[in-house]
Amino acid sequence: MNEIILVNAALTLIEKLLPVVTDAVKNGQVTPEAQAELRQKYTALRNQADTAFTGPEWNIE
Amino acid sequence: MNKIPKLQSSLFHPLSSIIIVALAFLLLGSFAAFAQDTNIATGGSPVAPTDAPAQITSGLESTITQFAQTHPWVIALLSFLGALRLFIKPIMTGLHYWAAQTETEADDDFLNEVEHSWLYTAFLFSLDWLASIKVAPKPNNSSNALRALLFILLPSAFILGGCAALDPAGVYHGDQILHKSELVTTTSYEVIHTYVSWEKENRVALAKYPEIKQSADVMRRNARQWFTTANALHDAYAANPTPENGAALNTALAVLQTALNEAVKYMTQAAAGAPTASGAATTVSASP
Repeated sequence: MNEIILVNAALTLIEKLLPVVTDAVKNGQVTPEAQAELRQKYTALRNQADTAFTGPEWNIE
Repeated sequence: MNKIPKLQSSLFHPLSSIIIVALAFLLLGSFAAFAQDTNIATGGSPVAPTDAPAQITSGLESTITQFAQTHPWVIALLSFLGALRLFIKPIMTGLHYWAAQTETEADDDFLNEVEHSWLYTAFLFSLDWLASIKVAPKPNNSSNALRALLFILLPSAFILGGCAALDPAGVYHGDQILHKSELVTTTSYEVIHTYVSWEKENRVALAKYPEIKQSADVMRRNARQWFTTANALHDAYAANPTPENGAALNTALAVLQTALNEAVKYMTQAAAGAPTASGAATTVSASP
């Protein structure tokens, strides 16, 4: 059971990192669409700055 | 595909060959004795016996008994191997189960230590070689593959993503530093957030790796400041893209990348079941 949880965590990481590599390698050049998508993610992250670090997972216990 | 090597390994290792040859000799011997007895009984004419199976069994028994009397070490060896097959595997399985059920980690560590000692390794090799007894399960190769994949992906993400040529028609207008800044910031947040959530959800299972909680707590304590600093330096560089501002921004990004690397390292190590390096949890500094 624990192994499954841990492997799932590794897969989650792969899911997050794989698109970055794929986008970079796909055309040898970051397209305007990919750039716009990244900018959108970045802006969204900054807009939620107040809540991005407030969940229970951020509490030190 | 995999059955052929397994069959070969079980049929053709030395002891199996010896046992097969010995059994063949025993059978031949019993048939020879049986044939000799019938020839004597019938005065040399090949007449079929009236109770052939009983005579074969009787001849085989007497031959085995005679063989055991003249070569007692073979019987002792076969009995010993049979006993190993009966006891070793259930004992080791039971020990693993017991260690997993108890709350203390001391027994897990002790069992792990024993299983990684050269003596136990040599013992397992001998069991496998002499009697085809495999006690320990094979290591989880899928976890190792995941770990290898992540270690390839992680540097690739920033070497390729951070240095890839930008189409000048895009929102970054070809500015690599700005693009890298937003790439590192968003990816680092995703991974660090995944890491602290994973550590909280699996704290009991991860208790054997105290450095993971220490590392996650360092991130909980400082992540907000790291991102605030990186964002402020991002804005300063965007407003005034000088080399000095670019260098300051890169310094802030390096802190995020270090935290990201650490999160990936611990998650993949835990997923692969490998012990983490003691004291390595403080590689992320508290200030950029």
